Amino acid sequence: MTDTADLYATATGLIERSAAGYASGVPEDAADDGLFGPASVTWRMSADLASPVAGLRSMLMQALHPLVMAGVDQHSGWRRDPAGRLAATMTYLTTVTFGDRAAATRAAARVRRIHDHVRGTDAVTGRPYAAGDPALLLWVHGALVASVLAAGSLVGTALSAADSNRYVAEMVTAAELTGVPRPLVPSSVPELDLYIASVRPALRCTPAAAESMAYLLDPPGMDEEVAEIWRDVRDAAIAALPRWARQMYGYGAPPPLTPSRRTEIRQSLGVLDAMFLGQPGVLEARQRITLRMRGGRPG
Amino acid sequence: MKLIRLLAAMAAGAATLVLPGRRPGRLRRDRTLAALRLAVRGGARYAAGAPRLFAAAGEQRQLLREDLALQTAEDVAGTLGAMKGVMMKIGQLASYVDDGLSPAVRHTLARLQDSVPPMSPRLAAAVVAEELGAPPERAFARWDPRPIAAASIGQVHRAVTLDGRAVAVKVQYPGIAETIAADLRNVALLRRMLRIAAPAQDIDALLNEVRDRIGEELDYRREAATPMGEAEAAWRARRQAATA
Repeated sequence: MTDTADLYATATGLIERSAAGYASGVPEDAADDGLFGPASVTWRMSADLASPVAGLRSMLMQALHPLVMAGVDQHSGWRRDPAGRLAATMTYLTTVTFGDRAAATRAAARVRRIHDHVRGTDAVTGRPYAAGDPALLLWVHGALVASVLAAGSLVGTALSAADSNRYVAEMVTAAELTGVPRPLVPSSVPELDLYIASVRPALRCTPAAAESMAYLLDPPGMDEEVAEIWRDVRDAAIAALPRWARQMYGYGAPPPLTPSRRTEIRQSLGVLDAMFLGQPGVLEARQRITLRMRGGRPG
Repeated sequence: MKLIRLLAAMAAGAATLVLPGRRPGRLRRDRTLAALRLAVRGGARYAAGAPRLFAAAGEQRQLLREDLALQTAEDVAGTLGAMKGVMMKIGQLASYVDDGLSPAVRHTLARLQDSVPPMSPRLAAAVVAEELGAPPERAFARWDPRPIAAASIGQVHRAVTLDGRAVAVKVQYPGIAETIAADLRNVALLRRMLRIAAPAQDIDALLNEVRDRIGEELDYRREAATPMGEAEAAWRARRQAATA
């Protein structure tokens, strides 16, 4: 066994760099309301306290696809710069959500160009992969959308059935932007459930998945007290996973989420959110969003 | 404790009517628990300026940002729930402590205070109506719908009571007392936060200080049990006469 701390860079700067990505993704002068608009469920959910839980659950789900994981593992350089990798994702998601159409389209074109070079062969399954493969992009998309709903209903804002369906339908555009043909993308909760069930036989916890997720669940280099707070995020993300996904990773059954435990997790999320808010530009970015959601002028 | 004396001295300097911000329409209306505190100094006129003492340094917050005003109890919960109200109070207390805080923590706590906009005039009026049983225009002879200062977990409005006294009315954000009380019970997380914020300090002493100070401020019943100001007595008498 090697010491993981030697293999990977530390998570130092995770909050700072994610925050910088977020602040830069919320435009000061938007030419239009973007792909979703201030009245969308997508905008509402992106501000949810459960977002870190959704993000972590999302990565746990995405990593279970061997070809998705192989692409990330062999190309993204996350070991050298994990904070940079996460910050890039944060910037992208924020730009696609809150940016105007031109900004969202530019960001997506940039990601598609990067994906063009991400090809290889997965050592575990022996299968070739390409990051631009709609099947892989769709899994990344479906895992994210399902995770926002699952994390919200567990520790954040639980959406009504109608709003859940609306969210899944709104997000079809996000998948299309990355290169998935629109007709392939689930556009309701039942379709999303069916889709995830259909992919499940192909999923497994490869060594790369186990390794990278162990890193995320307990990032080295975090301040001890912050690490304690992160533990609540991790517990919530694992609790929000489907049972079969937990079993693939070998996580035990989570303790029941009592109301008081849920409150504790939300309190930890509030502290994390305050740290995020303390970063340059984040408060102003949120105020820009609030004003637009209230129908005020952008910026 | 320097901290306490300082805050107490501030509190004594202003004419205040404190309205605990219950969630409008959710809790039962119980006038005896309305827990008003009116500490009018003899001859006090329109108390403009004085209530600003309630705002700690750097805590003018978003008073001018009416466009960002909290419009609903949900807005309040989103802004001050999940430990954020407690952290804001810690930030406020910390602004009296000279050392022990890293510049980064100080900055974060200050930003948190900056993040809290005022209540919209409508939401503030709903709290007044919930507590006094009448909208502010009827509960007071004059009511300024625009807050003149940020209070720690509420805001201060100028008003004139029905018997003609100029007062500053401190209106608490609705629902926040319950949330903060629940957040104060998570001692493990409070310790963590304090260890992050002030690693060099005696955490147990700091924790007690924070819980005492914040708990005191939330406990309007205890405040109400102290001798009432004459203006409050007058207000109550009028109110009883009006409802008899």
